[in-house]
Amino acid sequence: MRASKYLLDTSFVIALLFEKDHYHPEAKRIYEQLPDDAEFITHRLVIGEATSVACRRCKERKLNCDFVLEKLAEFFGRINITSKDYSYEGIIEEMKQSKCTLSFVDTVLLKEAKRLNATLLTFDESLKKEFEKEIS
Amino acid sequence: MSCGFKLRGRNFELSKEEVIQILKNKSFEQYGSSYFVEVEGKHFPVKEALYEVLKSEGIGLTKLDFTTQDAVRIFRKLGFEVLTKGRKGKALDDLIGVIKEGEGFNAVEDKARLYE
Repeated sequence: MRASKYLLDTSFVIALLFEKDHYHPEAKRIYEQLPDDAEFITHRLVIGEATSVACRRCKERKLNCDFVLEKLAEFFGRINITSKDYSYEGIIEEMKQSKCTLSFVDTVLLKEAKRLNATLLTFDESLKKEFEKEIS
Repeated sequence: MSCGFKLRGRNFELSKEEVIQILKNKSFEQYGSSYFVEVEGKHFPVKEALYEVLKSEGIGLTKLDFTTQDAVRIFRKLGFEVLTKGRKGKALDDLIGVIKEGEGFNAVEDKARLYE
């Protein structure tokens, strides 16, 4: 049985914070249904991705960048961050085997979900599919 | 102002300012910790933080020589806030949907665009 540990990917973090995101209602619903002792974790690389997505939205849609980044920093400050450093050769090898279905960051996340025995929260179908394959 | 402490039969003194100086440029892996000390807005796992402080002060104790409870007690006595994080509780509630500007976003597509 998986412990109540939840590893968050970029799509989930962004959907949870941005009220006008297509996936926000679903992210909110999932969040509200999690047990109170749910432990949230993400990998340091996700901070990079999520910040880049947020910055791009700020530039393209002229959002208040200071506010957006402040809220992202606040969010990451309240959850656990893992910095597990996998060898890049190993990750690239796995990417080759999956025919580049997943990005480098997603491949790291999959390995982290396995290592931490955590449930991966994502809206990315390819990543979700690979995660389900891993746990089945 | 310094405070006196005793760990494993050894007495030593520490001040809040010394701790800030030692920890301000440090970073630690945060996974697996339950208790964090807040130092100048940054959160450090208490055991790793205390170990780093003791090492910098030349106090030769290992992480096996003290408990998380010891670390929490020492940081609190020095006037630092100790918190737990990573648990749902209500910790993230005020951040859900906090960014209200814009419209028509799609988190999956935007993430994918990073790699286009």
